[in-house]
Amino acid sequence: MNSEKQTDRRGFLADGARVAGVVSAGVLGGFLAGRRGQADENRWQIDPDKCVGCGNCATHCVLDESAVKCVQCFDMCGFCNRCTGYYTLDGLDSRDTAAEDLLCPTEAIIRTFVEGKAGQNFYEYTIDTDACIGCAMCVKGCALMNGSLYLQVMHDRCVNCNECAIAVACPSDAFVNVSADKPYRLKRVALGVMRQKAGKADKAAQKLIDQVQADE
Amino acid sequence: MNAYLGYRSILLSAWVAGVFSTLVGVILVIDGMNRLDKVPLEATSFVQLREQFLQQPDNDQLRQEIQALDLALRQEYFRELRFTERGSYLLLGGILVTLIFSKWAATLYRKLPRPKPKLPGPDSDEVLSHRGPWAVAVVMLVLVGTAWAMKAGHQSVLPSTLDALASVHHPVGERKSDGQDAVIEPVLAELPSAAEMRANWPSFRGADGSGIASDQDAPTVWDGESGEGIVWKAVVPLPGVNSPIVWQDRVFLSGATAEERGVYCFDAGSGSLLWSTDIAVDPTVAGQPIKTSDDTGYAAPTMATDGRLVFAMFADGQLVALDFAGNEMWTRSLGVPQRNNYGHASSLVTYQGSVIVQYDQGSSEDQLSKLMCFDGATGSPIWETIRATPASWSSPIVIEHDGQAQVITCCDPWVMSHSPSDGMELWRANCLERVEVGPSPVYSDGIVYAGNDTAIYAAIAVDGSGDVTETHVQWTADYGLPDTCSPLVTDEFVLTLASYGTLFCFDKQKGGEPLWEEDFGADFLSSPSLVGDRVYLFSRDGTAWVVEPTGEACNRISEAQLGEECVTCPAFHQGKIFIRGSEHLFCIGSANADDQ
Amino acid sequence: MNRIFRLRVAALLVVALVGGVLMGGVMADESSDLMFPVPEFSDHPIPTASVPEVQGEVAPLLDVAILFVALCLASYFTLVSRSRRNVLLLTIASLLWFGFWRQGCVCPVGATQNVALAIFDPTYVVPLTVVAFFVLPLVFTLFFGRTFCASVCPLGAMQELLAVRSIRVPRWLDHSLGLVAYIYLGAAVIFAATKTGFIICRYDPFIPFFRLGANTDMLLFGSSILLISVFVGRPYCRYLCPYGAILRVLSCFSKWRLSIPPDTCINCQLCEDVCPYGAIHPPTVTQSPERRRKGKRRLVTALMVAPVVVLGFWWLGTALAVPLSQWHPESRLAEQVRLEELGVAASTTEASDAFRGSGRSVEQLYQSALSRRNDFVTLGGLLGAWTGLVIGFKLIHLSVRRRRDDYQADRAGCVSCGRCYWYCPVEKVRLGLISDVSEALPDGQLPTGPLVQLTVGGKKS
Repeated sequence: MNSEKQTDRRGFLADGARVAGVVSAGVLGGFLAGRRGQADENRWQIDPDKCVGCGNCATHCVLDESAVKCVQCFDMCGFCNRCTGYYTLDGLDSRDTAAEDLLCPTEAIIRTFVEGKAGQNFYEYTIDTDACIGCAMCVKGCALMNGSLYLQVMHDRCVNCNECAIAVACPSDAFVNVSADKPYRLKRVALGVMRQKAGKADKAAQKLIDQVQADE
Repeated sequence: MNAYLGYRSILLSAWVAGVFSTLVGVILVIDGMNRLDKVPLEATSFVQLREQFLQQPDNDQLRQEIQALDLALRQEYFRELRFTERGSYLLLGGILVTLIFSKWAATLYRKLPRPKPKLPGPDSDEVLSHRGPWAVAVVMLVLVGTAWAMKAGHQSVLPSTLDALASVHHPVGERKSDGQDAVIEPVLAELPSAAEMRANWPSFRGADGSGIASDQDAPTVWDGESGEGIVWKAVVPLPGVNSPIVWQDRVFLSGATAEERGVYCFDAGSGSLLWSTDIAVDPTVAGQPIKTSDDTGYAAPTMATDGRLVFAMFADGQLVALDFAGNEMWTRSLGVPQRNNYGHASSLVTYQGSVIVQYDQGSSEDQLSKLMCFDGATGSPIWETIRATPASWSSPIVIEHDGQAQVITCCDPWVMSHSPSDGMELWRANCLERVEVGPSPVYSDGIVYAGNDTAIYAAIAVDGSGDVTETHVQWTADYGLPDTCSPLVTDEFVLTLASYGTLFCFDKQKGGEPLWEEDFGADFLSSPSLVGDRVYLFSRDGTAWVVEPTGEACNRISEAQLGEECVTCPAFHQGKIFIRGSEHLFCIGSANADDQ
Repeated sequence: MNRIFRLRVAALLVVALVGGVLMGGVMADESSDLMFPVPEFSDHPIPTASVPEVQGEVAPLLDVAILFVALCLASYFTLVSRSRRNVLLLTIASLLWFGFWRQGCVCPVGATQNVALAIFDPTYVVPLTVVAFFVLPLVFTLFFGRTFCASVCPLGAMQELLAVRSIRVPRWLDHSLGLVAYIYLGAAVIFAATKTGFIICRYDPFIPFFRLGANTDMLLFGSSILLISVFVGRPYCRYLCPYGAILRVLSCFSKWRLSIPPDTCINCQLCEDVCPYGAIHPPTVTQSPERRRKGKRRLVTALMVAPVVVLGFWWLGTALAVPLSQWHPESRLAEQVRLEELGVAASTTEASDAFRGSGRSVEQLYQSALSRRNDFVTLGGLLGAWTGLVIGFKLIHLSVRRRRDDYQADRAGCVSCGRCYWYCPVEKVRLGLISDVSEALPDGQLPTGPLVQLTVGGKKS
């Protein structure tokens, strides 16, 4: 008899707690949903203007082959013959494309001759994304000149960890959250150029602009 | 039978898969450990080869070697990536197969658990309510321990408020580069010359902290009781163990109790108290507990003067500057010394119009110990250097060697030299390992003599840089070392005085074993001083001896009584001795023993 | 080196200037910021780099739907069909989907932090998926017990499959170690709310396995947890999991929960012996009056000690402001910059170099670090008080006795894995596998002797 009463009391308490729990879970969910501004999931990205090219991206990603890779912004590139992103500084003079003068540890930068003009030869530097490991050596080298090479998190590889291991190791706080439908960034300098280009019905540029989140 | 065979083969498969997975795992781990740096071309062999090549850019063989190694490294890198990837999948597959087969085997040969008969006794709830609270208590202890370890392991060098930061930060930010002297604006009269400084007694144990008087003569006979040989004696209002300093016709002292503090100026000729200034307790430290001991009290640091202002410091870390008329020019609280067992005791020293404070406190991990330099005229900080040393009670000295000034300090475990203009460390020698450093260093002819009982005594040449323990220590001694009193270095000898009353004499050039030792049967806290060839020793009970050291023995010249306890060092000025007893300041100026 | 480099750059600049002059006005306006202008080629348009689209994305709704279905199935399998086999199959499926396919992100355990951050930082946008992942298991637990832990959580699944040789952890040890999870939860919430970091994710021991690769430290930590879980059932869930800590509490109020025998318990003790998580407790003995008095005294002591513990830990927490705030990279940076300014730091770090390059003022950095430290005085106090509260509650809980007439699963500790079903003779009779309970007992006999002694007075005949 006594124990039944006790059980009843307990049952009542548990019911109350349950109702309170469900209500508070609902309130919490509603509150957070109501506050939501953007519809999309977040993605990690590197702000190229903040990146210092420390090299942590190559070593700290949870993936064995980092999700971070180098991107060439051709509209910022000088197509230089003596490229500080391509050659080691002490190899600049010899301008030999042999291994001893190259900066990239995986030979992921492809140099192709474009045109000779006014006594100067111009070369185009393209990134071989499959070979690139995101070590940022070329980014650091290029930063001495135009800074057209920059790092980006490639979203075909990134597994979008809740806490990005590279972001934890980033010395310059360059990792930012961007929305999943515009998951890339451009350097501030390149943004205007790319918009102009897209305005001239350049499809590739338009596509890139569509993928880029601008901080304005 | 068949079922049994089936079970055996499934179990065997599970075992095989398990062994396979283990093997793959071990190989992966070994491979991971042997793996190159995560970025290829950071391999040392490649870096070395490349450096070689840069020196001989025309060496074609080397070039080819580099190219070959480069290719090999890159291929190796990608091969390893593939290897790890495949290995991981193999491992995963292996583990899955192991799990499936072992589960299968377990299902086929499921054994019911065999409950052990329970012994009568308290049920598990009873045991839980008995032991549970104790286990929780252990968890609590572990948590408290973890918290303590976290707190000890994470010290902050940032002050508690931004205001405190701004006051210290600014001058540090503008620190001069190495070797370049900071310009200290002479807002008052011109700084005195070095000769003037030497002619006076501007800081603890004189201008250079050596305890050697510039005069050649001083009284040797006196008696405080009868007044024989005493020119005057004056009551010092508040107690203190700091020693008098003298500038021309003025003698300065400070005194303090837990409640009051004062700075006093006496007329050197008549002994009259020219002025006394009460120093208010800084509100930022008011009410905080201050650790002192009977040997230090609240006014242990000896004052210092640069001929323009006098500086005093008290046990609560307050530094104050007064002009010669007794007006307080500025005051600055350096914060109450933390975990300083005996109370702050290091005396002040000046350098070209700035005042230098050795403010050692806490333990070596705390990073609380600092060497600080303040502009004498304004009190604004010029530099401060944090030092990883525990509290010490020794006083700094400022010396000049080869035209370069150095401030020499003793702390555990280093004798260190800093540039007094920018606080940059010049050299350090390890000879004070794990001691509570009392005696101050002494400089003589290019050598600093420093040491402490239970460590070693060392003579260190001051022209080194970096850690000079192995290179610049001229000699060491490990017997007859001082514990409180600072040594006296004459032209030939190094004299150390142990607080239990024995004077030891070392050869200045060789060190090692003492030449002789002489016991005075009294306790000493006052450091020995030298006038001409004579060494003055003031014991704690007020008895003083004047002795003349030779290479063979200690010749006692005279013995005199102050009539009062004495733990301070005498100041010598113009043939007179100024010494502070427990209550009075004495001026001794009698005829010499020779004259009698 | 530096000099040579500067010479080179100068030479390059000269080359570029000459080039620029020769090319005339081909310089585009917008590239005027650049050191070298982008050349204009006669028949080569300047290409545009392309970046890959987001891949491996599952529609948010699908993600939530799969979680919902998995939770429904888990609850059905444990509470209605009472099938250990189905629970196990669902466990494996969850491990494969949520663990290896979705690579463990986002999981309800980690979502705790996103929700905490979203509550405290209005600018942080938390995806609805994450909210749903956080809330759904909570609601399910309120109704069906910890069915999420049983077979939906990939972290639990991994340990569940490995729990083959479990040793019994004494209950007092189990209870005291379990406190760690609550403290971990508190710390995770304050670190997430202050944007210091998501420590649950950072120290997730299973992520290296889901992603097939990680650094050595994490791999070692993960492997040791897995190794331990062979001998101690679900060590992460029981002693570390912060979400498990929440579910533990909610599970105490659940409407329905797993019950071991379908009807009458024969007190055979089989289920207690087989539970790898020590969550099944035998019937209690009636206490002697002396014991009861002792128990009451213990309860009174616990009630008096609890507030002291809360206050003590609150005080301890406030004292930890410096170490706690230094979890934030910016505070560590401020310390480093300060050390460098004082000339004590041996060398600069990448972070301090980057900071100097960023043009932010040192004062601003210090200000931010100092205000964070102030915040952490409060937050540390809160964390301490929370710890004290949990400990105090545990002390009270330990001194309260509850009567059990037969073998029952612990409301908080049971993860609804369903192992006990397989061993329960009554269940086997229900399924028609055997005709009498004695067939399922080790010696074919009903328990006698010790059990009877134990239950004297505990159960009415």
